[in-house]
Amino acid sequence: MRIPCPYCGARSSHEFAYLGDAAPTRPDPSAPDAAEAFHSYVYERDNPAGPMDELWYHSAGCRRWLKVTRDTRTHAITAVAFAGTGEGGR
Amino acid sequence: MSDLLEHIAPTRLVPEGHYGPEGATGVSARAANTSASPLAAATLVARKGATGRLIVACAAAGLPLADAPRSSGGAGLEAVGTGPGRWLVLAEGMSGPDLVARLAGMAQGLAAITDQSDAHLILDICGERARAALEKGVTVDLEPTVFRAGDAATTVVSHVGVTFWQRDGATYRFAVGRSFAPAFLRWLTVSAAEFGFALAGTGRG
Ligand SMILES: [Zn+2]
Repeated sequence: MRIPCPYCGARSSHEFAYLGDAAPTRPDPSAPDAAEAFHSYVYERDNPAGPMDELWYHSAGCRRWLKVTRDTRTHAITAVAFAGTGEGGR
Repeated sequence: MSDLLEHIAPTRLVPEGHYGPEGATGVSARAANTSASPLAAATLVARKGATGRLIVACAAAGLPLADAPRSSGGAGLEAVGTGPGRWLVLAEGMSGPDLVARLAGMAQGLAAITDQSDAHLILDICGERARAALEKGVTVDLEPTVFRAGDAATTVVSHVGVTFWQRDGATYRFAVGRSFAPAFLRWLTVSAAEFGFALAGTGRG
């Protein structure tokens, strides 16, 4: 599988480290239901058959986190962007 | 790895010399940063949100930068994009501290600058069959219509992280982490030997 990095170009997936689902966002630790929210954040994952947003780290290239939309059935990648909001994902 | 390297310690640089068939030299490589020819290196990393302003400041000081995997030269420096807002900058015949001071003057506080002069073995690889040898381990497309003079890549070759760029039509310059350089040179030597490989600048290994 080759991942089209927005900076580096298409690269073999072995240059990347895989984190997984890009959907979970860190809960507010001061919220009253923080313990339950963190349990869900850390452990609970969907397992979709189809397109999924995932986080990949280009550890052997530009060292940026990418948000990759990949079809889990075919490995077809339909979108890639730097994760985060700043320039270059920072 | 092969009989060729049987008597060379894996922890030492491959010694300079000729490897492969006598009389043929399809690939040549030379270490560019030796004690005889110092080559300073530093990383230049834009502060958060300052990439555009850093590029303007450096261009005004004579060093054009591209926020892309490209190399550029100016003001006696060579800059290579290694990631968004990040460059590796080389300077021939300059000391590391002098290069850092020079870049600090150019960057006007818009970048973090770190001396990397001891970090890499810088290796210039050229020759008619250089691309044929490199293609055995480089997974970036080196076809000349795709990877052209000035293009750069940070990638993995034989499990070793490298940054390399094409300096002109014929020469690829590789920056390899110094402690990984023996392993990289072993890969290069066995990959290039079939074409005849001349290695210089690594001393007696
Ligand atoms: Zn990348």
